[in-house]
Amino acid sequence: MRNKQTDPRVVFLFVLLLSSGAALTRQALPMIPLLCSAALAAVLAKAPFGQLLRRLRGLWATILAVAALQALLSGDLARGLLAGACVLERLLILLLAGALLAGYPGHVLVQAMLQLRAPYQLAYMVSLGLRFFPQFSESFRDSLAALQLRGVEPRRLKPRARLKLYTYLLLPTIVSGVNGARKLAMAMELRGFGAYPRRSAYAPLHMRRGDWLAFAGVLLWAAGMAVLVIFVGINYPIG
Amino acid sequence: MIIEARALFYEYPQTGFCLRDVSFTIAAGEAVALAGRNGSGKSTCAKLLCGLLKQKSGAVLFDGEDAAQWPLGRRGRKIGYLFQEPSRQLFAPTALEDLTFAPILNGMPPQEAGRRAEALLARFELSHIAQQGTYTLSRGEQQRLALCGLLMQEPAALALDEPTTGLDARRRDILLETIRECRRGGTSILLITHDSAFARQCAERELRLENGVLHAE
Ligand SMILES: Nc1ncnc2c1ncn2[C@@H]1O[C@H](COP(=O)(O)OP(=O)(O)OP(=O)(O)O)[C@@H](O)[C@H]1O
Ligand SMILES: [Mg+2]
Repeated sequence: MRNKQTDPRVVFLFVLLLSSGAALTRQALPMIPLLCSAALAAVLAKAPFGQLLRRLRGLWATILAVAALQALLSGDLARGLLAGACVLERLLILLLAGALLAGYPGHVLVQAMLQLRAPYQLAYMVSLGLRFFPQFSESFRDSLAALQLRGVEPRRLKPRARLKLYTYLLLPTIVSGVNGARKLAMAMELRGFGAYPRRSAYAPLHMRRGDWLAFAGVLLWAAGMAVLVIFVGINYPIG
Repeated sequence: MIIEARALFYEYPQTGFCLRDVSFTIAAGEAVALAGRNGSGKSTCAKLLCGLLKQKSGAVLFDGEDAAQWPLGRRGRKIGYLFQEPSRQLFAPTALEDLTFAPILNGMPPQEAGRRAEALLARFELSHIAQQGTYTLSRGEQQRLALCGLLMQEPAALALDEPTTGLDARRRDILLETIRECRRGGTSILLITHDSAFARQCAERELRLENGVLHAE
């Protein structure tokens, strides 16, 4: 089978290390090497980062607001700004990590999880989740438009009325999401999903030379980061 | 109200499906049926009219005025869109509240909103579900409730996306009568349906979409 992409298992490892690094780091400066590595990996892998950014367009205002709030709440402005930057960096790293995985078709990711000994049900649920997400956001967009078509413009309302409206808005999305998931689960069981403990695979993944190289690269990178932390003395406060 | 679609073009970026050069006019009080196979672009066309999707080129005009820059709220007062999936346009915890909350937020006195909502529910034989949760309604009930929600605003036009799906013979007749009455009041109607008998009863003209291209009959 022709496959120029790096084996997703290597990417899983990288993403896992990267995101735990991002989660453990609490300061803006030490986060920069992590961010740079994530960006470099995304460029090398030609990850669909721009596409992901565009999809999450609506979230940006919220993200910036959260960062600004962090900056304001922590009294000392300089430290506050650093804290805000830290939140932004962490989100960017997570987004980049997401973009790295988003470049793979769902079934390849599921196959990778399976070969890493994840239970089939779990792997399948993840792939379903990937598929539900766009549906969810589309249903939400339609509902918001339906509300606006009824002449209700959330932005022009008083805060209390607006809050009530947002709970209204979630109702159709959640109901259709939950109903969809329930129907799907029933349909899958009716077709015998999970009736056998093991599955055969149409396209098992194999590590090739390039994959082993990438794997070695990830290990080297992790070691480098560790060295940076321990010896060069970038102060990663952990915990 | 006169609705005019002028050379509408739209393409879904994800699937590449294209609606090409769609032009038609619906006169005040006229009903036009829009037919076509599954996936031929009927709902897409309706969404363009109502502003849920934004055309890549072309224009939608209401009474000769280009609606491109209008906020959705203003469009909604002109044209009410009954979704093909009506559960997406029901919001409030109970049916009655779903009809009244938007008009009240827009400044209608609550008593009047309540009175009108009850009258609409009665007309569509939905009075018994006034206090029921919107998400526990049957498909046909949801559809009629969503239509009532549109009629609360007294829009100058209606785009109905397969409004007969899930309706029994009696509710279908009520719908037919409602459409006729709206038309007598000057409301223009775009009726998307696979039910050609219903289309003939409601509308004198039929447009047909094939693969995103419009054919008049
Ligand atoms: N959100 C979307 N993203 C990408 N493609 C879409 C989207 N919605 C619809 N399409 C595609 O556009 C085409 C037309 O869809 P549309 O819903 O307008 O068809 P329709 O004529 O209303 O069909 P039906 O009779 O089944 O309701 C379909 O081929 C569909 O796959
Ligand atoms: Mg449709």
